[in-house]
Amino acid sequence: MIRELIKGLGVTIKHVFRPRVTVQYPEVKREMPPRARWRHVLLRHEDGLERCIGCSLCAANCPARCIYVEAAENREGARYSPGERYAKIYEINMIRCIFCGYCQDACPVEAIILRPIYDISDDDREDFIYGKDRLIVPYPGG
Amino acid sequence: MGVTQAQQPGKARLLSEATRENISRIALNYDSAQSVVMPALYAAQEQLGYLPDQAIVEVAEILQLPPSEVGAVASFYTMYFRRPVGQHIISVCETLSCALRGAEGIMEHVRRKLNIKAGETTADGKFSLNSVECLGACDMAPVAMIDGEYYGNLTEEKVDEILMGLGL
Amino acid sequence: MIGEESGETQVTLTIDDRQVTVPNGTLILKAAEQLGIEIPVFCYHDKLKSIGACRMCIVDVEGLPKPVPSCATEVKEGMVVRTRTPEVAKMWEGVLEFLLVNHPLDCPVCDRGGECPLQDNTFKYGPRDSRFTGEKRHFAKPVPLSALVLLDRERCIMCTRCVRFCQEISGDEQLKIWDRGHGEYIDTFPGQTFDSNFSGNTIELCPVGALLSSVFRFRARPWEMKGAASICPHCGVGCNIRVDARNNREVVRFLSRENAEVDDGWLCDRGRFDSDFPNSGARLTKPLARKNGELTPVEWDEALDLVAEGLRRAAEAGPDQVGGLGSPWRTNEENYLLQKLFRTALGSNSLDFTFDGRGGGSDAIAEAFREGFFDGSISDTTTANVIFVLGSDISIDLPVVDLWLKKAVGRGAKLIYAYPTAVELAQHSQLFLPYAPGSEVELIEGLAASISAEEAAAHTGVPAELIAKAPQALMDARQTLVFVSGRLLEDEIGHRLLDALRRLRRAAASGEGQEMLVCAVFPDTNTQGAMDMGLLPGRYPGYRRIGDELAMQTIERTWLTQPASAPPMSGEQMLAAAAEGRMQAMYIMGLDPVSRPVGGEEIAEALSKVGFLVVADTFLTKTAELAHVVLPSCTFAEKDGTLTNTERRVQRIRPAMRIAGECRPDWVILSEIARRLGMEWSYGKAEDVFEEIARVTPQYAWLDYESIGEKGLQWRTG
Repeated sequence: MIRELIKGLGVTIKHVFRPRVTVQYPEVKREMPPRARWRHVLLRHEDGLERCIGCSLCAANCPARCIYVEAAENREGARYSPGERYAKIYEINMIRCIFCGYCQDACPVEAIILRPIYDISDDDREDFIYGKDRLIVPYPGG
Repeated sequence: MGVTQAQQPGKARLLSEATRENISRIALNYDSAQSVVMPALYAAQEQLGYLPDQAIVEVAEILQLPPSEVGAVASFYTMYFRRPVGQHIISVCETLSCALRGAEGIMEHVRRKLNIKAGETTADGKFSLNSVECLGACDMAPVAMIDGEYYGNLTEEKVDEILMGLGL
Repeated sequence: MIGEESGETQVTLTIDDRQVTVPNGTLILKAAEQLGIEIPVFCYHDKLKSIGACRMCIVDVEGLPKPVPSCATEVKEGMVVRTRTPEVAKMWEGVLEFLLVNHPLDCPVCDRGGECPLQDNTFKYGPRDSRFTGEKRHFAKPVPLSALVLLDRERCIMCTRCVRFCQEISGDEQLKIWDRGHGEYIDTFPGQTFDSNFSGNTIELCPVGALLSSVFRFRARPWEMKGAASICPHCGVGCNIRVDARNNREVVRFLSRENAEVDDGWLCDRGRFDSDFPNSGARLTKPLARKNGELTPVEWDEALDLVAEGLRRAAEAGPDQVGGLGSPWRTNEENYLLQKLFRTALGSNSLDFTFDGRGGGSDAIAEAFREGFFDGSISDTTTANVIFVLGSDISIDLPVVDLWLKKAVGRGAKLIYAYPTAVELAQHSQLFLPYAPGSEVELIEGLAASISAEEAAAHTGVPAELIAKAPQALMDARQTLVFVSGRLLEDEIGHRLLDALRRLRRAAASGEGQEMLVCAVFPDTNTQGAMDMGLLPGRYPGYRRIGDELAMQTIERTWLTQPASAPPMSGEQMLAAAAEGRMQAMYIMGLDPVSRPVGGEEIAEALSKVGFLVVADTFLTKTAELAHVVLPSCTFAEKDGTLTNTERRVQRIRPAMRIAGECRPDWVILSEIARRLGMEWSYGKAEDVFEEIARVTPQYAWLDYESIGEKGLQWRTG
């Protein structure tokens, strides 16, 4: 009986000295593989204009029906993207999203891309609907 | 409405009485108003040198046709000018036979000499340059029509000579 | 002529190894269509003359040295056509590759992307890649041709459908091809805007995304929309439309839904572009009740209780103290239930759909409808030899009928246009009679030759020699079609006018096989239906007189209670009573008389003296602002129902989008009020109401939702 106790404790002691597999999230964040596909971001052109043209093809391709786009026309003095059309409203419901990446597939202008950003947590369901404000990368130079 | 464009009050008429009479006389030779459009436009252009939109509207009024119809005809043919043109009009053919015989080079040469692009007029108002389709004189390609006269088998030297003759 | 079917001799030919027999003169394209063989087209359109411009439809015909355009080649006996050979496939591929030389690949931002013939044909028949490496041609994107129509010249493939529409259909010759060769572009005359009543049709005709609607632009992609087969709510023609709503939330556009009897596949600009109102943020979405002088949002139950209580109390004071106003913009079902509510629960016959005075004309017109005097249809314009328009500017009153008339003139029908001023259609007429307003009766007497041309001229101010031309034309015509303004008929002279028309009919239909058809012109959407449903003072549904024993018995069998036989008041009389403070309660449904440009203020003053005013409408109109209770109703895009157009055709509207806010269809609102007034109504859906309408309205007796179907049916007398 003592022998078994010592044997069990031995396993415990052995594991104490092994490297840890957990991290202290959220203080410590685990490095993701560079091609991990988590939350979406909307990209900009080098000159700062939005890449998204509001064509809704991502929404059409979305198997989870979690994307809502409303387009509008770029006007003199209010230009958001090159060309005529931009996305006035762009929303993704992160609770519905299955992170399949089909939106990225469908995008004709490479505006939407899934990035290794995985900390999608909140305490209100409403807050999981990400609008353009949270999806789009910041304007270069702020 | 576009069907009958009423004479705008206060706007002077461009076409003279003589031209109007001329057009009415020409119209007698034809069965339909459509057929009169081209000679009528020529008559108007003869008087004015070119065809401003107002002249087209007036021709349309005389012939009782929609202005758009007359305007579309005027815009189709290269020999109706919808903007003021120079004293001498140089039309270089660039269709197949001429193109094969070096029309591009001739055009480029004229362009350089006059320092204008096709469709433009020199600043002194002396020359207008046009690129046109087949002038029907392929036997002497490359060919140009200058002030209504045909000049064939053009070379750069020959062009210089002609332009010199016109006072360039 | 190409495309015109003689229909006499038949021709048998072979297309892709299958035989087909078609009338002589049929185009190869149409013969192939009969076999279900698809040939791609761009410039060809069924309603336009074929010009063979785009070359998309070229096919191989055995024995001919070169491929031929199937849209411009007629069939021949024994012809052998091939559309699915490698050679044809290569040619189609070539045509598409050429078209795509200049066509930009901006399908993701193009309104047409997803429902574009060029896109579809390229997918099916086009090349995989383009060999073109040069620069595509560039224009400003887009060019506004008018406030409503935009043109993206880069996308244009020069099929000229729009140009031909302006030439052949609307006749306004606004769009033309300008310049030549690779520089060609579509435009109006310099400095002019695309000013036409029908410009929107060119957008629908455009086989690419070159012509665009400024109202619809960027609003939705085709796969996000669901269309409901409905009826245009903007005039009495009742053009068939498809109401497209995005994600079931908002109406984004109206498209034509061809009905060969009503609209011939066209839609006017007023109808097409006024599509946004159901989405308006200004809509009423909650009932309002006046509390401490202010209209305050309340729950439905409270509002309906208030309405029922208010109406009940007023009716107790006397049936001549309550009145109801229906609307030419509400469905038959709703107008019917309004009068039923008043004639059963409230014992009142004071019902109308306007405050306008009618000077007794309404009785004459009601009698004419009851006896089936009006028998003309819009599509009779395709057969009539003489068309006579009296007192209506058709281009404004019934815009699409304008196109029918032009088409009739184009095929050789004689148009006699009688109107006080020279309106646009008068220019297309063979005989224009600019009479002095008020002299319509004498004018018709003159046309019927029952008075001399000189006498008619003296009354009407129309030169006698013009009037003298008409009788012969009418006498010679096998079929005469008359469009007569409903406003004139309702007017004081209505009675005499109808008599004059009867005399004209005797004159114009005196010979063997001759007939004269008459169609009344009502510019508002459902004026006809409102009258049919008994919103006329003195008439039950179906124009049967109040007090008519037989009518009362049949109605009682269905209503299970006797309809009111109290003396009726017209809208005008109700208004007068209200001004004197003699109206205890009024219920106004879908009508805003206070906003009228003339006389609105007097109406407002009179209505403000009504003891209890209920307004059911979609917006907080000026009339609604005076009400004690305001009930939010649904627009036509949120409900089922039927409308009856100016030619007495009953057509269905269907819900296109989800109901806004807490709105309810008026028939539901009225049912709720009736329930609170102790009536046992059990309508589960609009169709149930219509079934009852068919039981009590003789003209509608043979109609039901199924038989009305997609295309509508005209009601009949007897």
